Amino acid sequence: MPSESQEPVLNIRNLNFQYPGDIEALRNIDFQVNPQERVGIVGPSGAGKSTLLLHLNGLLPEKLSPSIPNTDTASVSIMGKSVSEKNIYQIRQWVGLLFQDPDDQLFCPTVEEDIAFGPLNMKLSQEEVHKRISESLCSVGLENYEKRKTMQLSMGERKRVCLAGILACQPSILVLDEPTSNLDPRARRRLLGILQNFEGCQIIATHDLEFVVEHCNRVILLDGGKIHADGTPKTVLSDSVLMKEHGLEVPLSIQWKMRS
Amino acid sequence: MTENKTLLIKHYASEFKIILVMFLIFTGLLLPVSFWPAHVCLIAFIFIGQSLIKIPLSYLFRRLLLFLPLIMIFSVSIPLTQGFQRGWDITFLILLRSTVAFMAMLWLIHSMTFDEILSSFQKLRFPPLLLIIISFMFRYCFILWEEMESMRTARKTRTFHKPGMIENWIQSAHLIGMLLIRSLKRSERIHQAMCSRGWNGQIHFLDKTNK
Repeated sequence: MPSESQEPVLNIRNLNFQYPGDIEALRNIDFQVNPQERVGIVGPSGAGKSTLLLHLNGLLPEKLSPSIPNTDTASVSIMGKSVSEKNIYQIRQWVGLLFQDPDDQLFCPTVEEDIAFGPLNMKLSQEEVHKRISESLCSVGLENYEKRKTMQLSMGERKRVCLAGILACQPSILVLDEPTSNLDPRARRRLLGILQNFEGCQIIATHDLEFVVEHCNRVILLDGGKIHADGTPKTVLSDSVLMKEHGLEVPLSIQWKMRS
Repeated sequence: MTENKTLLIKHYASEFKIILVMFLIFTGLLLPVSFWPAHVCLIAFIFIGQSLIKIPLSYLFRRLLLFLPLIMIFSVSIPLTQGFQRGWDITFLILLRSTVAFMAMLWLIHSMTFDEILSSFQKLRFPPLLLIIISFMFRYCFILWEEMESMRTARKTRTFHKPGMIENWIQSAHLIGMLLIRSLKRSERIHQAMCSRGWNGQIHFLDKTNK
């Protein structure tokens, strides 16, 4: 949970968002995230989880305001800077966003080209870019994968390459959309290990509640675009009435603990 | 000796390769039909260049077999509208010019990677917008193909009889329509993924020799 002494890295205030056709996706979203906090965002499908994550990187709304001088009026601010057209490129360096489908993220023919995409956009030198490719591949356990074709990788490898592409930008905040979907247990465990080693703040939207129990220290329950609960995994995920009300289930590990 | 020549061609400055290919194509385009031996010389020159970078003959002939009939289809109607002698001259000229251009482009794409070609065009100060469009087109081609394959597989799994010709056409039309919609959505997501990693409309290339 946020402690009073720390400066929040993410501050969302009264965020509302509607898709075209008056489809309300987010309503009065209000929360803060502190450095090194690992926040799990849970909720049924269509709750607004992915929409919320897109706001953290300035991908939504599609048209950002040119500049907001006073952060008090901004809906989303990262490290004290509002997500606006003026700050967007700096914010995107701070926030690394992992998409749900790795095929959306891997658009370059080879692994090294894809990982280099972010660092090259940061205008780093070629030497530094190559260094970051090696380091990030090493951190996700895919050494010597530089020349591999992205289309020939397994789903687990694709997810890890996507993560390497983000880590190569050295973000302070990791925003992950369904990181464990379509992963076998070994790939899931490996991903968990990589994320445990990441020292910055993490915001993870997922249906994998066991993953939240194991990895996160805070949970936000989102449904119908609204926050319904915010607390530790133990308090939020063990509330069977709340979970049932929002189309979720108490994770087995918590159920076992409650029984014993 | 051949090895040295091959290395020499491979290590030519990328920009020079592009200028040379452009020069060959434009020379081919500017020469009139009466200079057809010059066209043949150009084709022979390109062929030698292709042999130096070891493009297999079988590959070359297969590509020409696909390309030339296509050009013939377009140019064969010219004698009907332009008079017999003049029409055949134009057809012959189109065939010569397109063969020069086609073979020169084959030479180029076999001696350089796609990224090298784009970065060389960038160094030659080609309009960035044009390069971005080419770069996206290349990347999205594979995505379109992948989408189409997955939709075709999904269709096959739920096809329980051999469709007739008309039914097949209707299904294909639906497939193409859906392909357009799905690829549009997919391209939007890819664009979002690019923006999230700092894409600002400029293309940067990884120097693969710099390690």
